[in-house]
Amino acid sequence: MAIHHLESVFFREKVAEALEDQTLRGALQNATGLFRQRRLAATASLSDWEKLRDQARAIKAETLTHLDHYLPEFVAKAESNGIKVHWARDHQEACQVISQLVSEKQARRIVKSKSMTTEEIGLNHVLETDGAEPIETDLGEWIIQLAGETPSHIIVPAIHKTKAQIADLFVDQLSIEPTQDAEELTKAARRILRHHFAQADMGISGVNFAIAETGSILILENEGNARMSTSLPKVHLAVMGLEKILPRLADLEVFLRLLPRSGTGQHLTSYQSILSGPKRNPDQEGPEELHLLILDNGRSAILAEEITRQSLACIRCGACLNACPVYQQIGGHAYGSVYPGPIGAIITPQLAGLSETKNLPYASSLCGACRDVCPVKIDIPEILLHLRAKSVEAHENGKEAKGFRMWAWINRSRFRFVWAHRLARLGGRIFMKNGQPPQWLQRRAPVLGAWAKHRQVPTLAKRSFREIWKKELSRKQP
Amino acid sequence: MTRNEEAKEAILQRVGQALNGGGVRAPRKHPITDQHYAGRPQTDLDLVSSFQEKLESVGGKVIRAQNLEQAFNELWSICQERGIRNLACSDAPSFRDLTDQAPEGLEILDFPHEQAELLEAEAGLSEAQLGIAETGTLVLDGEQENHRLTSLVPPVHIAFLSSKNIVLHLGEALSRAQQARSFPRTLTFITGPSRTADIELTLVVGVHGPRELVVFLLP
Ligand code: SF4
Repeated sequence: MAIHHLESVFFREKVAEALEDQTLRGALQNATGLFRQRRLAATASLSDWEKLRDQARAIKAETLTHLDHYLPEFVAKAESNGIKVHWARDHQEACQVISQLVSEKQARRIVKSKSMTTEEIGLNHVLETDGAEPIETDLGEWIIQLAGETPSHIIVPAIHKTKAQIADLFVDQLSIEPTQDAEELTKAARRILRHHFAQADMGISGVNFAIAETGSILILENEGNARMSTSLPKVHLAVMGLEKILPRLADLEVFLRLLPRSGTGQHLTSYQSILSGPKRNPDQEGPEELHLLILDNGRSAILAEEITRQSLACIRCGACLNACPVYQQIGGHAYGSVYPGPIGAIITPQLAGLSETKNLPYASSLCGACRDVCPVKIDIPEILLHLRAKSVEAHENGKEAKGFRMWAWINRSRFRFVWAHRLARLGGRIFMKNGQPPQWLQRRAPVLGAWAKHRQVPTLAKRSFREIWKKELSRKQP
Repeated sequence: MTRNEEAKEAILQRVGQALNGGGVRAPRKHPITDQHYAGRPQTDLDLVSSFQEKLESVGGKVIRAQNLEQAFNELWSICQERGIRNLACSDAPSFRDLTDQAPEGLEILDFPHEQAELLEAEAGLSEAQLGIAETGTLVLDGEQENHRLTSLVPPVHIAFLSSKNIVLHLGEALSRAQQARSFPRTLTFITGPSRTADIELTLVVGVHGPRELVVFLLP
């Protein structure tokens, strides 16, 4: 299990870079602020928003707790509907399976609608290596693909790009007439992508929900590119993580009310396609084959503990990104993973392991804003703390752990406690200048140096409370 | 065992182990027992006017017609007003043999369509089997009509909907689909024209799907 193109080890460097980028920070402020406002207005349109969230949480909890029942139920039903189901244990296997399907179908041009799961497994890269031409058709994703970048927001992938940058990109890569008009740019995209839709041999999509009871998949969108990708080409392949299941068709009622309101602040997105099989007599349209790839890639391990299991309830609405004071400042790229923001800070380490991602659980002030907006009530701060604990345990002999062991040892004996303080006081008086430890000490103890960089190190009082008490206060009459 | 069977077995085993390793599980029971999902609109809502209001609020147009004949007459004049030169029809029975009725200068493209023809079409005509008052949504059922492409590919989508078929909320629409003799292979919900805000959050209507949605409401 792993995540393609994982760069979370460079978190600190990327944060520093993002904080310097004034254009990015302006764009982030705008976008996250607007989405927060819209979300609030949309949730206020329902009188029992909280009850709706509780129901969604309960449905997801039931499904995940009994996924060993609902997953096989879904698959059996989907297969009886004529959907060809493929299984992949990890990202490599997923790419292999898809590569093989692509070569079997002799597919060259492949139109893709937004799917984070295919980004997780690095599918485009593999398809390109195979000589196929994957084309992202969601406008934002397409812009990112043309620019050779990665998405920075779950809902608006190109949020970090200005109109001028996009215009330059289009002029440069697509030879369109220079324009600064979003409408003109969109028109150009429509024209060019239509050509691709018409020629494509295969369409690849993600899945928002998979219904166990009916064996259907649901795809939700605004642009119509998912409908195009799943209706025009002869072969449609949908890719989903194994957690996307809902027990009943009726459950969609809850999630269709929640997801658009939380994501874009719409009451409903323009389109929902509920697909339950390929073209069959007497249908005269739709794909001849419908394939579905079910991916594990570390998800099954997350099911084991109740505390982590809730991470799999995520419906990828993006609300926690917009609410997060950290994301608002640093944007999506800093997280170094296809999953940014608070949800990324919990999902990325769980899918890819903590060794390369141990900074991510700390990318939070634990303010809880993410938990408060999450439509499925995932307790993100709780999971962050859990991951922090794991990461500390994994570094039993790290400097921090040693430091705390030493601190505990000193505090266990009165003698050591008193003498440690005396020494610290003396040392402070001799060496400290303007609240800063001396350079040589900062070099020897980088932890102290890093801490003191943006803070004044407090000097200890000349006398401790214990000494004052002993000499003066204890003898005073009440 | 094939690779796929092996992978399936391995994944299901992992899932089972993960879930069985952590002590006693609550018994399997769907949490919504009374089928009453939260967030439903009030039951005294006027279905038709709510449908219209919601759809208009997202940029859809609603035209009320007394009967089919009046609707077609309206349709022809809309096409003429906008200079629409051809109209791709779905295979719904009411759209059979429209050529004789259509005004001069408007070509009727009967179902089924060649892909190239569809890509050139200037408007598409379909029915909608249901409307949802809660959201102003059209529900198109693939068992009743081949609707996928006529409602998507041309830049204008015109849909005929009977007011009798407007239901109150999303849940009702879903349960209607489920009550059908065979569950539809394709069920499409449409709420307004195609839209994007991917370039600096500027709303642009009509990206990959239609930029205009016109609904004729029949009795
Ligand atoms: S964690 Fe919750 S708020 Fe964040 S994307 Fe997932 S569902 Fe939305």
